[in-house]
Amino acid sequence: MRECDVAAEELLAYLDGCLDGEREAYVAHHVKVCPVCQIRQAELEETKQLLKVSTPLPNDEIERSQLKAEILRNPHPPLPRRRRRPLLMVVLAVLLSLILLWPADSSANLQLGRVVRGVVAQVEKSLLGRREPPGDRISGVLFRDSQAFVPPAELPLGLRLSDRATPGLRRVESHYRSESGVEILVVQGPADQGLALGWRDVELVYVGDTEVLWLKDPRRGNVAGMVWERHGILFELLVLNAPQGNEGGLPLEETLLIVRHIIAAHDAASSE
Amino acid sequence: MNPPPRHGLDHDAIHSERRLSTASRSRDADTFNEFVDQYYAPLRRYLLRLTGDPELAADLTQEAFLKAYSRIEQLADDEAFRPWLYRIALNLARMEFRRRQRRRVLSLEWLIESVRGISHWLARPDDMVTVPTRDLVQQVLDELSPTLREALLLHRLAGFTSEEIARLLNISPEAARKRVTRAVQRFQALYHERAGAREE
Ligand SMILES: [Zn+2]
Repeated sequence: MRECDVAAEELLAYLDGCLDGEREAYVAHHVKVCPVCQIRQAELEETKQLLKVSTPLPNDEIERSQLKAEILRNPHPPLPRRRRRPLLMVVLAVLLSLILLWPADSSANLQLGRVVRGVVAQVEKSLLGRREPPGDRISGVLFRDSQAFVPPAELPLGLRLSDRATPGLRRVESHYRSESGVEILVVQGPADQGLALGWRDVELVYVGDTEVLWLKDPRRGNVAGMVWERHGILFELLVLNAPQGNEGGLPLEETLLIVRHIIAAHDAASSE
Repeated sequence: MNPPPRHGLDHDAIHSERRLSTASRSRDADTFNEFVDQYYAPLRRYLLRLTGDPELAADLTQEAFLKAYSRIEQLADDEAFRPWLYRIALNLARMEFRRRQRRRVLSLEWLIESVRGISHWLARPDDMVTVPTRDLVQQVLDELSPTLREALLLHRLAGFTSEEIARLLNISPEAARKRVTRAVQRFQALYHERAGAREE
């Protein structure tokens, strides 16, 4: 028996109907006599069956008619707001590592540190059966309407607002892109709702008098995210994408420019 | 000789797509809704397996259709609607993955469960067994790299040909076939290994 001279990729091209006449005829004949190709073909078929049988088409009638109604209602539809599970949106995920890493001696003077500790207290209270986060004050931090301010449509590095969503009564998400491929998300919410962070490698930096938590990217000097609290609003800046193979991290100096810009706009809006 | 089986669209379907997309360009919502009827369920099924999260899959499906509708003018004449829709959906899913990587979001339920887990540690019955919540197919899919998972599901679940996948992912047909082939090999190996381990 001859050895198999049809690569798995070529067999796939044949099955897809992507081979030209002569080669197609050759492979068609070959497959009938080649046990290797027959096994490959069986594996392809089995994979398809496993996926299809285990994933029946969903019963989508209600969703589909809602979507169709939405389309009929809006000749120029706005970009959709994502439906979220309410509990999931109460993102109370300040990891203990962050708390434990917080330097005990300096935390007494840190506003952000109080917020972080306050959030954990909130979680504990919720777990003890109290319904809602009590009061609007934790360790002297006053919480204001977190939607009272939104970051400007243009930020340094040529970033422009591409999408803004309010997934929940007290949160705002602003998505920015630049021509060079930088993509960031600025999430803001009331400081009593906590942070969505699980970062071990953090450092405190300052922008003016504002403490900013720098979530370090694995690449030295790069930023994965920034967190700060200002006028009762907790901000998270998350770097979604950065150009030049930075694997998602932005250099610290450039990110601080953005943070500084948002803080300045926020201060100006708050003093009005 | 039997013609090889084809996974792509037949010619009638392509013609009807052309007609639909042309009509949609005039923002004919009724006509667009024919697309919704035709592709909603398959796209949601694809996204379910891609993400492993039914709610996210439903959200992304809605978002993909609305985005496609709002950008229908961008659809080139000779480009069929279906691959374009899947590309939009795929980009949305990738963005969501990236967001989730950055924001290790933990749910309150998880937090409550973990605290309970600690406080009730001693009272925990010995015979409590952790039941995997994901079926075997999803467990195996989760173990594939995102690149291989995308390609595998586009070919073997959504029924695109390797050339359609190449256009959809903006790669060469050879690269697309390489991905699908590797993905099938890896899927098969992992699936049979796990299935065998379960039976023992
Ligand atoms: Zn062969």
